Amino acid sequence: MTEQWLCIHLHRLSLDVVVRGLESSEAVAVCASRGSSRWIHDRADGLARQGIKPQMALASAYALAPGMRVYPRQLMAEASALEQVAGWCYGISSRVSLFPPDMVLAEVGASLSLLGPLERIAQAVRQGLKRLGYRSRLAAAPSAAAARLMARAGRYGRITRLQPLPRVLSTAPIAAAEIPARDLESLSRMGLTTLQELLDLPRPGLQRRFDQQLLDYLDQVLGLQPEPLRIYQPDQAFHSTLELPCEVENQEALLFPIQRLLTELCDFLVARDLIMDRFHIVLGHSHSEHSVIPMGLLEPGRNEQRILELVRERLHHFQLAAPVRELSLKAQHFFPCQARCQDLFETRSRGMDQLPRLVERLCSRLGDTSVFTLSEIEDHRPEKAWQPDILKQRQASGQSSSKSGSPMASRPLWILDQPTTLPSCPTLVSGPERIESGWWDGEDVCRDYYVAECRPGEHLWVYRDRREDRWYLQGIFS
Amino acid sequence: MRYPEYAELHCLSAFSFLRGASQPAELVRQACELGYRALALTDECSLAGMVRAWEAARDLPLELITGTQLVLEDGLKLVLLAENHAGYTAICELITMGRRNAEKGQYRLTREQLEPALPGTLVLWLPDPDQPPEQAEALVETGRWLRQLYDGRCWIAVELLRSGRDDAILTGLTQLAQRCGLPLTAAGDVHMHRRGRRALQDTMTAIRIGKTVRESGHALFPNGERHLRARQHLAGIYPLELLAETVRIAERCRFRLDELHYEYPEELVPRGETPTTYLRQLTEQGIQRRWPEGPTDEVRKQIEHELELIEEMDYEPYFLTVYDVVRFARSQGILCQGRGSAANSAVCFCLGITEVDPIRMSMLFERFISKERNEPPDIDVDFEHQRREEVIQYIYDKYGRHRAAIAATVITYRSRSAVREVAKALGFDAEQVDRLARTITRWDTAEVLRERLSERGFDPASPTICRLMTLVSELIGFPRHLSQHVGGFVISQHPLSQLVPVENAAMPDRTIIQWDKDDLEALGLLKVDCLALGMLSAIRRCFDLIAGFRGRRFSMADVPPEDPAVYQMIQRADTVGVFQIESRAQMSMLPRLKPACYYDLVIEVAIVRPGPIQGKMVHPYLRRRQGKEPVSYPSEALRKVFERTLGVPIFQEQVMQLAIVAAGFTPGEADQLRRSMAAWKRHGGLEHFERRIIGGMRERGYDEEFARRVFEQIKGFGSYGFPESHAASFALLVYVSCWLKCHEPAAFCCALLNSQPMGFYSPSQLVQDVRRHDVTVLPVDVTVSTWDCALEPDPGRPSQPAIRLGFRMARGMREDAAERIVQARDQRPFRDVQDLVQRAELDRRQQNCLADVNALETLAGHRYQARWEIAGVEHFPEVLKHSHINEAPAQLRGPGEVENLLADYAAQGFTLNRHPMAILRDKLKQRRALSIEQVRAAPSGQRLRTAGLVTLRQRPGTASGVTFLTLEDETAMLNVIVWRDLAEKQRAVLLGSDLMAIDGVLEHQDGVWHLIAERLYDYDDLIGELHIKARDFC
Repeated sequence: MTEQWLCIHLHRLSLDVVVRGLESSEAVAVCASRGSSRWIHDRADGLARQGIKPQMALASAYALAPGMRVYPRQLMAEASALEQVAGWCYGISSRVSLFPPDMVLAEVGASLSLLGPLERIAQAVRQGLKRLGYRSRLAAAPSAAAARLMARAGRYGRITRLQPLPRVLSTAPIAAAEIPARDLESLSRMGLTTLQELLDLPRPGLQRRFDQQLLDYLDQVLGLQPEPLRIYQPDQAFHSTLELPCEVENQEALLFPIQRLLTELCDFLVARDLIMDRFHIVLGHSHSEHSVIPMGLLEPGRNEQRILELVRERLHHFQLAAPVRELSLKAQHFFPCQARCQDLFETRSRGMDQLPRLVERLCSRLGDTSVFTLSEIEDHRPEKAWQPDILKQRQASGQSSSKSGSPMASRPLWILDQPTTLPSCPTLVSGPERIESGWWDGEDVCRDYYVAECRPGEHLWVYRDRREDRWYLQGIFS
Repeated sequence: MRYPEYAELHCLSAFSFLRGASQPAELVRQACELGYRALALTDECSLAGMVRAWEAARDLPLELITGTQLVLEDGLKLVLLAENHAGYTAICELITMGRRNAEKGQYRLTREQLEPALPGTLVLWLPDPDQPPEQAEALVETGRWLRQLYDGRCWIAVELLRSGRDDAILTGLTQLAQRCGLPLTAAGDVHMHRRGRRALQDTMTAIRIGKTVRESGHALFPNGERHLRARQHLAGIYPLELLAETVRIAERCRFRLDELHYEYPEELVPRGETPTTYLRQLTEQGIQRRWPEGPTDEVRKQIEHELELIEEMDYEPYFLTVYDVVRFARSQGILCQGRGSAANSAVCFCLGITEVDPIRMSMLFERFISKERNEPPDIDVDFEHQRREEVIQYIYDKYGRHRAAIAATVITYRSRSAVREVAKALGFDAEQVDRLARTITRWDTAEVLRERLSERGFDPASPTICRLMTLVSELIGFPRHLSQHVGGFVISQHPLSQLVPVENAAMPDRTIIQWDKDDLEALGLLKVDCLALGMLSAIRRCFDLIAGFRGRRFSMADVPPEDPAVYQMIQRADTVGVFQIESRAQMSMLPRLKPACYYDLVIEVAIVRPGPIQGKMVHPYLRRRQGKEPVSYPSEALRKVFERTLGVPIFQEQVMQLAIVAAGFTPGEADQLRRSMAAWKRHGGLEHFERRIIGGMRERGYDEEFARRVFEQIKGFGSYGFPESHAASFALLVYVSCWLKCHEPAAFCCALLNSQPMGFYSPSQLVQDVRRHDVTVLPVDVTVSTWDCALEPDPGRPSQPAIRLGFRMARGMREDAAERIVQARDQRPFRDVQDLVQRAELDRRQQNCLADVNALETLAGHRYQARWEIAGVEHFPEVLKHSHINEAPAQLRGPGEVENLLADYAAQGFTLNRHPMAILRDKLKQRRALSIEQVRAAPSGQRLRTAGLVTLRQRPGTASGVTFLTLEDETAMLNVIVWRDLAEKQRAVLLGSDLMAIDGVLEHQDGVWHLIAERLYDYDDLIGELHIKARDFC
């Protein structure tokens, strides 16, 4: 029996994943970028009516639609959306294949008898995806390559048999075919625009001028040669449960069984070359609702020892609501391992291994928002020269504190958030240090700083505002 | 109370690029205002701002000291001050050494270069006040080393800038001074003239380190103390003794820039002659050549007058230098011609430097050299643009790199660059920076800017935008870096580095001096301008082509003068490609002014320029010329001055003559008047001329009211008066190029194509124009073409040859590949593409270029077939190189007309087949657009629609917001005027579309057509991917 491949083309995916998180999709555009140049990738229909086209430089697009709201393309979200759709398709076919960035292929020939005619399947797919928030278009053909070609060529339709394929596809533009860009350019330079013109050329001549890959592809489209496809593996969530031999009331005693589950989880990740950034520990009780302990990692990983340490910290502070009968570990958010490696190269060096662990421990003990770091900011204005940062946020944004170069006059350790006015000029011990800076954020200061003495041995840091001619207390030397 | 005296000895100006936030003149004026005794300008390893400072200080009671700040490789920071001329020379040589040893814009100096001690130089040492204590001994060592070298002329400079550690610094340096036995002095590390430049200084720092101001942190100065501080305040900061020391140091620095004297090179005079006798000898030879029948009395008198003045001013070597350069060029067959005020000189005419007979033109020698001005004359010579390098290399060879260098050009911040960099420093993101830079292309009035900003979605009232605008307006005009002048050479008898520092330019093997042409002029230094002129290349190439095709060699002198056919062509504005009078503005004036003789061309060149158009000189002249207004003169004496321009003052020389004839000026004084006229808008300073002119005229019987009117006219004239001498030189080239276009259109066009890029028109327009003159243009063909375009006999037209396009027309084609093709073809014709590629050793890129431009048609068939063929070319090893591949022929579909058109445009920028508009004509008809030919047949005042490719978009600064478009279709070109309102309303269409349709009203007068646009349409949908880029001057 011939295969029947359904190509699901999520033709507006990059826009759909962005809009999903927004209240309104009006005037939304998604942009792509390389270096400093940015251009429109896709845009809401309203913008299209204003003349905004894909590939248009952002600056020119702004000129046409100043009110446009632009978001960068969310490649990660697109990838996981595609994954989600593939998972959904697994319900109708056991042979599903992903074609990033925006296609999912499903072999439905085998399911036809089960699910009814193709039209009905297509209908179900469209509606299912619509519920998920994705727009889609469908094409079906007896070879996967042909189905994709039809979709890329914008010929969303259906061909059921192999024999008429060459005729039906003859006018398909080769620009829509999966031919390497370099070959595609050569072909178009020879004036070849349709698949038919390409097929009409003498095969030895083609072979001499192009890679075997091109000929193979043509055969795959026509179904003369099978296409090696990577079939989607649906089981991407981890869930493993362990029934405890007896009820456990003490956290420490939970550690060992958890370690067994963790080993299982980490093996699962290694086998699929994935990493994760969170998972759940579910504690089952005999007589009450089960309790869930969410676990988060500061950065995605799969190091068993490290994760175990984290669990230990977390459990230590966790009050068991009731004795535990059953333990399970659930994880379902994963990342491909390479993505993380790339990340590492770009933003962090490996030398920081120790600190993240400490931070993870602190955070898991005190909660994410309780751990601060004091960061020094290079600014001549004393009240702007430091700030508390929630550590997790800061690490996420990839900042790093820089060492200041030039030495400065003495600074007290204790600096007031808000300088307070002084009624009169205090007794000055040394100074002045003149600071005039900060015009760029509207908080320009013009001050002369002095060390003043209030009682013997007690030194204050005070300044005179040169514009107002008034005295302020800025800090206290301890 | 009296404040202590002070001299600032450490001061950086804007010529320490992106450090100093004030111009040299601002610093000088402020120092004077504050009652400083002296100011040392000590830009970092540079004297580039020195002459400007010197000019500003010339008339002020402030001593200006020449100096420089240096940071050596090991971090040692010094200020050197010139005590006397020897010191100045030493500093120049040191800077030269440091600059020549480093990349452009950098310098590299070590302690060795300060040993042995530089003569006549005072040294201020700036020890790092933040030196860690463990290096204290090293500091003392350095101090002792300096004292041993510069005993009695080295100080430790104490710079107290209210960092909060002033006391500690003073104590530390006092101790250091005692330990090394060096005296202390005060200094201010000045970076700006007033505290108010703090924000600009911070911004410059941010730009320099490539960060935003916010991120710059401690790279910014903590306060604004680095300005010229009032002596009152200094008294409260420094011990009095330290302030007094500054004055003592300043008093030791006696060197002033006026002492510089410059000597012309001497080697040009043969043994046994003096410069004077040799110049006379050359001039006499020239007289015989120029006037074979002997000179008239007038000529003789003029020449004697000139020679006398030249001798008196010792300018002979200058004339001999320029003569030598011109002689060299002639000997190499390089066309050249003097331009500018030199054309006023009969001696230059005799020496062959210029081609205009100044006596015939009644020009004024004093415009060129005047005793009163006491400035060196300025001879500018144009050379063929593609061969000027030979001339430059000749000068370097002859005088050596140590004696000849190119003058600098100070590149300053323009509005666009200032906006871009300030916006970046203020933290605008890349896209906003782009948008801002696009919005603010020129510095309009505040109101216009506000309007344009809000149009582009910026809030002009927001503090960030206000800050941006303030900083940008301050930064505009500030120097950014030094670049090389277009061709101004300074040549000296002695090494130049003794006169002015020399540094590396961006081009390899080029060196520039640190002064620009105004600096040179101010100091009276000789400069020879070797300029590049594309038209000279084209004319020389044209002569060569004619010689090759007709076997008759032409020269400029052989071009028959005053040919009526040439003037008829000019009056029709049939002037695409010729010199000067080819532009849109010129073309629209030609049919009205109807030039009929050489002198009309001189006026045409001078009058159709932004200045006279703005000054409303064009229309009075035009009306008088057309006889619509009577020609009148205020007096018989002035008739002689203004007769040649019908009573309308057009030339600078006429104003000078007016002052001489009507107000009793000497010629030298008249020249001073001319110079003040050019400058008064910026500097003022015409007042004393006002009294003299009006007084002088009344004495000579003109009534007061008339005299006042004349004076007002002179004031207005200042900004746009054009030198007649310059126009006269240019008009010669105008005539020659017109004659060639008129009589040898094929050769002329061919020469223009081979001289690209140059001129106003693209190759596409040149080719279309020549085809409209019935010249056949043949495509690039690998079996016939050479690198250059060439002439071949045209069987269809015996009188004119056809133009065969050369490989140079194919985008991406390389000259060496073209040469290999020609060589291989000369051995034997190519059998097929395989043979071509193999024997001419063409790489893939060159093969593609040939296929793209359809040059393989004779060998391989149409473009698609050709590309199929080259894709199949095999690279055989040497032994198999005569092999042949047998394969079944593939039948590829041939390209359609539109496909060919697109390919032609992509490969060479034009097509020899049907014009794109001809292909679209039916569709255009459906949209009711007329062809340009039909437009021209319509009556003036008619409303109509036409369409065409936009080949030019121009918004001259003079035309108050008017945009000029040129449309082109298969029949002709048409100029379109878009008024400001419409331009603002339809900005996107105006700037964005390649194919535009326009509804408008036709204006037709005196053979000039204009369409006044009322509505614009973007017809780009008709041409798809055809990108025809206009030459945008917006």
